[in-house]
Amino acid sequence: LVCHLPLVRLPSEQLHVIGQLGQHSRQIRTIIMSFTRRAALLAASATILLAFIAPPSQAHGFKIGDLEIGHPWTRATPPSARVAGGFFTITNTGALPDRLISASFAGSTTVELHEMAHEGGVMTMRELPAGMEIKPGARLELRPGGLHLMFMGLKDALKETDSIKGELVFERAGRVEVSFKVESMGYRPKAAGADHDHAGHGAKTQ
Amino acid sequence: MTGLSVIRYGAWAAIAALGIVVAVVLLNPAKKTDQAAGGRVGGAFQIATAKGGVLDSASLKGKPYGLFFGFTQCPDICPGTLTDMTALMDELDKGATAAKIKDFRILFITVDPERDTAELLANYLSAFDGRIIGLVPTLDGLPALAKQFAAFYQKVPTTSGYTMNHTSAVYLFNSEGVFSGTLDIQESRANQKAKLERLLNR
Repeated sequence: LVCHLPLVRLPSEQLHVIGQLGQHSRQIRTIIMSFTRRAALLAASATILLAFIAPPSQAHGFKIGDLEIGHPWTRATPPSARVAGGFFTITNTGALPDRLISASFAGSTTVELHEMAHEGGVMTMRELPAGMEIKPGARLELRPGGLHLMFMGLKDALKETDSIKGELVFERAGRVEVSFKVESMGYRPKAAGADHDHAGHGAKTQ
Repeated sequence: MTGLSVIRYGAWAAIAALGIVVAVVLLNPAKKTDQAAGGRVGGAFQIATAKGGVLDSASLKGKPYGLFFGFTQCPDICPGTLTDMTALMDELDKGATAAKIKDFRILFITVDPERDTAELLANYLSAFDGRIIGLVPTLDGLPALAKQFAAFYQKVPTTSGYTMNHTSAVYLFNSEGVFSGTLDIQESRANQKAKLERLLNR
């Protein structure tokens, strides 16, 4: 709820501006003030209410030991597609490094850990046999165009709004069951740049 | 320096600057026609289509088209490009270029003919715009075809099989079949749209 605070603070800034105008009739000012106060109250209660109503699938998370797994998702696939990518964030709140070493996905026969890169107009893919390290305090992001789980041998086409179970295996923290939300075929996560910055900061702090 | 000589030097400088501008303007179109006439990217081809039959590049005469290399066991770039192109064509269907986009084609050439059979590719592409045509070259014909389009592809073995590295850009060809630049899904949608509209209006 901390991130909603500016919403509540906004009207007081408006009040300040209205105060500066000064010369307007007191009556109008009171009406505006009571209106902005009411709006602020409404906005605040609405955000509190929304926080409870919002379905957990929109931004779901899982926890195992010192690791927080944020919003595992994948994309709907065209018919006959045999592969799909799996994405999520891993935050290491502990003091020791950990490593994602394998994973499984109920919708496919195997899962590999891959890294995609886009260099000089060529899309390149490589398997990461040693897994993915998450340094203490760092936040690792699996996302389209970068690190991802490669679901291979899809049993069926993935359909939007489905939620499919999977398991992540970490060297230190152990196994954690997660569920992957199936987004639309063309879905792209928002605020890509911001997330990259966070990952960079996390890596630097340790 | 007298006021007059300042004016004189200034005038000469202005003439020199004008000369450079004229030279640049004159040289640039020459470069462009050079590129077009050279025809290093593209040229004639005949490739089997996913729906059966053969696509001859001669049949595309008079119609601008896009072309890109991919494969169905591609988790991101290929379905992403196909989704983008489908949305883009849908958008252009409603715009000023509606009449021209009707005849536009996008050729999707698989770089994985070992696994991408015609039937599988046709089924895969059924999720996207009907103007996207699946093409399945023979494994033997693929190297020459890639060379023709200065495209790159490579098999990458993994634990449970293999994946492919490949050129990700969509090549654009004008109505005379001349290479007219590329389009990339990492560009903004607005940029892609502008490029496609320019191609259609050429």
